[in-house]
Order: sequence, then C-alpha cells, then structure tokens
Amino acid sequence: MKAWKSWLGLTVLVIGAGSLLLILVGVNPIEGWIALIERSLGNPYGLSRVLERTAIFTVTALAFLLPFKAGIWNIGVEGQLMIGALAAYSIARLTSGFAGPFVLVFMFIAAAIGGMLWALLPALIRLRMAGKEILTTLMLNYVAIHIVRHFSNVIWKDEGYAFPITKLLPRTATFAGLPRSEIHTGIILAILILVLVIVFMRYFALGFDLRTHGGSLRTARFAGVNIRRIIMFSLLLGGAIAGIAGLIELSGGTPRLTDGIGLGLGYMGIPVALLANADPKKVPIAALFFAVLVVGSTGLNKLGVPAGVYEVLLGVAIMARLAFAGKEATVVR
Amino acid sequence: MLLMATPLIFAGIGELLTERAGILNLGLEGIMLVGALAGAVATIETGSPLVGLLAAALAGGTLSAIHAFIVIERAGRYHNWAIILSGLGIFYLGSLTKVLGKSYIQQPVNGFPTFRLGETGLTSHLDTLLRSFAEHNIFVPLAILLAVLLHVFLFKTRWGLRLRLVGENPMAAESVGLNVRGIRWIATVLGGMIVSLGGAALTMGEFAHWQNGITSGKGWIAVGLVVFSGWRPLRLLGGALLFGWVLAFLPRAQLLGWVDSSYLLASLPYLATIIALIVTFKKHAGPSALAQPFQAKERVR
Repeated sequence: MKAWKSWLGLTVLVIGAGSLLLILVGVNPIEGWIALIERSLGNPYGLSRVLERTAIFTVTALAFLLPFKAGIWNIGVEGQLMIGALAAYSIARLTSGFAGPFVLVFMFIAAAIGGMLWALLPALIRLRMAGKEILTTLMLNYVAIHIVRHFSNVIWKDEGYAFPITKLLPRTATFAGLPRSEIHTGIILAILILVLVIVFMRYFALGFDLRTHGGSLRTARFAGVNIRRIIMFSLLLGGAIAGIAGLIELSGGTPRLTDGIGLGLGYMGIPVALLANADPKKVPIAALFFAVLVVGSTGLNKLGVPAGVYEVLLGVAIMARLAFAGKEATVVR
Repeated sequence: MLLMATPLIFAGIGELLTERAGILNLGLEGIMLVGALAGAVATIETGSPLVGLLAAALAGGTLSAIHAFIVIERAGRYHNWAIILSGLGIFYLGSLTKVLGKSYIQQPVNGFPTFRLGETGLTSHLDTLLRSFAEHNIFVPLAILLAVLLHVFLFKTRWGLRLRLVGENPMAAESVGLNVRGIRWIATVLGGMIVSLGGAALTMGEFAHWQNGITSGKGWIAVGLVVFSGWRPLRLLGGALLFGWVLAFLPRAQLLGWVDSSYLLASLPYLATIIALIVTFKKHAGPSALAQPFQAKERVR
C-alpha cells in the first residue's frame, strides 16, 4: 500500500471514531472538529504550541526508536524523561548560585546522564535475558514517578506554601523563547537530536550494526557485530535522549519540578514511532499529527467534552494501524 | 489488605491465564478501567449488581477481543512488536471511561456491600492488623476461588496442559492437533473478562462509586505481579496479598510517622518485580512462546 493511502485511511478512521465519540457525548461532530482545528492551527498561539509539542514528541519517539531499531524495547522513556528532568532541576538548584549562564550546560549533562542511568539496569539485565527489558523498563517508570513525587512534594518542596510546589528556576536555567508563544530554543535542540539520529543511523558503522542486530540476530552474529556493545549503546543512548526530553520539558515550560512533569510523554513516543514506520525522518510528521490532536483537544473541552478524547483517538490510531497494516508490516527495522 | 489485594488478584489471574497461552497483554490498566465503569453504570441503571458484573465482564472481554484480533489474526510475523503496541493501544482506549463516565462520577453504586469493622477499642497497630484481615466483600472469596480454580485447571486437567503447551511450544501443540489460535483467543478474551472484574471490585465493592483513574496503576502492578509469581496462580495469590499489604500500609506508615513520605514505599511492588526477574533469570521462567509469533501457514511454505 502506498504510504499516503495508509495515512489517508488512518486519518479517516480517527475522524470517524472521533465523530462517533462526540455524538455519544452529545456534541455536534462538525462543531467539534472545527473547534479542534481552530484551537490548534487556527491561531498563532495554538500553532506555537503545536510546534513545541511536535518537538517534544519527536524527541521521546526517537528515545524509543533508537533501541527499537536494534530490536530492543525501551518502554521506559517515561521514567528516563522524569529522572532527566529531576536531575536537571536538582543540578540547577545546586549550582545556579555560581554557574551563571552555564547552568543550562550543567543541566543538559545532568539530564542526559540521569536518563542514561535509568536505562542502565534494564540494559544490564538485557545482556543476560532477551526480551525482559520490556518489563524492567516498564516497572522502572513507576519507580521514577514515585521518586520524582518524593522530590517535588517533600525534598524540594517550597516551604512558603501549604500545598506542595517547588521553586521556579532562575531565567538563566530556561530556554529563551518568543513572547506570547510556546516557541523556545529547546526546539532547536530537538531538531539537532533528530538530525544527529538520522545521520548516525545512516552513515555510521555503529548505526549499521544496530540495524543489523534489530533485523536479524543471526545475521548480526555472522557479520561479527558486537551484540553486547549494541545492547548497551542503544539503550543508554535512548535513555540519554529521553533525559534530554526531560530537560526540554522542564526548561521550555514552567521551570519548576512538579509531580506530574512529563507524565504520558514517554508513552506517547511509542505510537509516534509506530506511525512513522520506525523511520526517523518521518517521526516529525507523525509527531505533528499527535500534537494537533493533543493541543486541539483542549478546544473540545470548551464545548463540554470531557478530557481524554485525544487518548482514545490515540488508541484508535494505534489499533487501526496494527489491524489494517499489520500483514504488510511496513515497519522495517 | 484483603480489599486492596482483590483487584490485583483478579487482574493478575486474568493476565496469567492469557500469558500461559503465549499472549502478553499490557493493556490491563485500560481493561480494568473499562470493567470498573461498565460495572458501576450497569448497576446504577438496572439496580442489579449481577447485571453489573456481567456488563463489566462483557466490556473487558470486548476490549481484549480487539487485542486478540490484532495479535492473533492480523500481526503475522510482526507478532512480537504488535503485541506490545496493541497492549499500549488498549491502555489508551481505557480513556474512553474518562469521556463516557463523566456524569457517573461519585454516584453511589449499590453493588456488593463491604463488611467494615466497627470501633474495636484496640491499639492502633492491632486495629489496623485486624481490619486488614476482617474487612471484606463478596469479591474477596471470589478472587481467591478463581486463583485456586486456575491452579487446578492449569496443572491438574488435560485442557490446562494443552493451554500450557500452546504457550510453551505452539508448533508442537499444533502437531498434536490442537487449535492454537482458538485456544489463544479463548485465553485472551476470558483472561480479559477476569481482569475487568478486578475493576468492578473497585467500583462495585471497595469504593462503591466511579472516579476517573480509579485503578491508580493497579493494572501495571498486576503485570509485574504475574512475573513475580513465576506464572503460578497460587504464588500470585501470595504476591497479591504482599503487594496489597504494602498498598494498604502506605497511608498508615506515614500517619504513624515511620516514614516522612510514602512515595518511596509506593514503588516497592515495582522494585520487587524487577528483583524477582533478576533472581529467577537462570530458571525457566514464563511460557517459552510468550509474545512469540505463530503462523502455521507461513511456516509450512
């Protein structure tokens, strides 16, 4: 099937399922879709939000995709992102007094290392047991959520408030942004990561080894690929990218640690990568598709539609993609 | 503790049944949510908790049937990644409950009453201990019974052996004339029905009302619990009681001032699962063909 055809089919299905859902909750679907488009693409602020979400979804999708190419499941982007954000926030708190304008550099390093560390244990277990990284990365997500909650609600809690809230980071620890929009320099970082991943996968020997390992374990063995190195490298790099996504989320938005920071972003990367046929070049397009849904669905809420519509449509998109393109199986590792 | 453990037992037992047939279903959280809402709504609308149970099982069964359709019928040789993505899709579809359940939030559900202990007059430690064993509802014995039944079925009956064979070696199962796809379908849908009863145990029993995200991660804990149990129903029962005890103990521990934050304690079930994975890695753990593709026709070619 031609790529554009499957995209069209998917869009029609998502619109169909969404319309059904809107009718069920008593909203005129046409009004609903107009509100969704109006909110996401119909005004400058909405557009800037879509762009910013596209960037973050792209990065989390790449954090999943890089190990996936090597045949390794990184379901732990969610947790790695949170630990990355936590590490970045903590280092900014500890060094902002003397680091001055370089605090962002420290935060970048801390976020990458934090994410990497959170992928280390699954990588070590993966060396011994194939397939078990699915469960270890998944379980570590929930450990990460609770650790971040411990920091945001107990350790870094601002004493001046009754409810748990953390201090805002200084301006030097945030990405510079355009006024009255969500666009910030962190988006450039996201584009940079995208380009680096594409170049790495295509032109570097290690990138080729990675794809060989994901394609067929036997071929990889015959080709003399160092499998242990591939496992460690791809998972740790995926973790580092996820950690940097945490930095982008922290310093690109409101620069304070909350107990819900990045919640759901890591999981979101997985369907984005799936819809992009696991091709890094197509990831931004798929990310844009979801960004419009996510940003636009706040417009639906104004019409009285409860939150959660975009998650359902995400589910529909995943299922439709699997049900109608499964056999052709367009995901080429 | 019993009340806390019950949804975990249902979800774990359902998932264990499915995984023993070689199908992984990561969408437990979504299935539990759908079961929880369906049970609550049907009970409120019809006034009959039995209809509520039926509706919960039906809703969970439908959602798992989608998973079965994709994984067994459509995925082909891309089975192993489709199985994970489909599970994630089921998890997202669980948000249907947020959209459709809004008007039922906090409405009282006349399901199955929970036996609560009155004033005991004991010290707070003893009181907690007694409460954790005494407070129960109809879901508690039902869950324990299901676990025992699944154990007997899997290890003492001919069909249990066949189911395990399908999960261990589908090729061999087919060569002795078993319908691998059919058995996997039944195990997935039936497993999903049992999982959704875990959700119903929340809205029709423990809390007696519907609330967005009422499962609060119990579906994910149950996924880990199956690993923790080594795919054995009776060990799963023990594991669920242990995890249930941790969950029940959390608010108490903070209240008593033993810990200044319950957040780190709350991550114990997940850590325990990882440790169980590491400890058992040399043993034969889990069905060999779990999440492995099976395409009889393709293999012949």
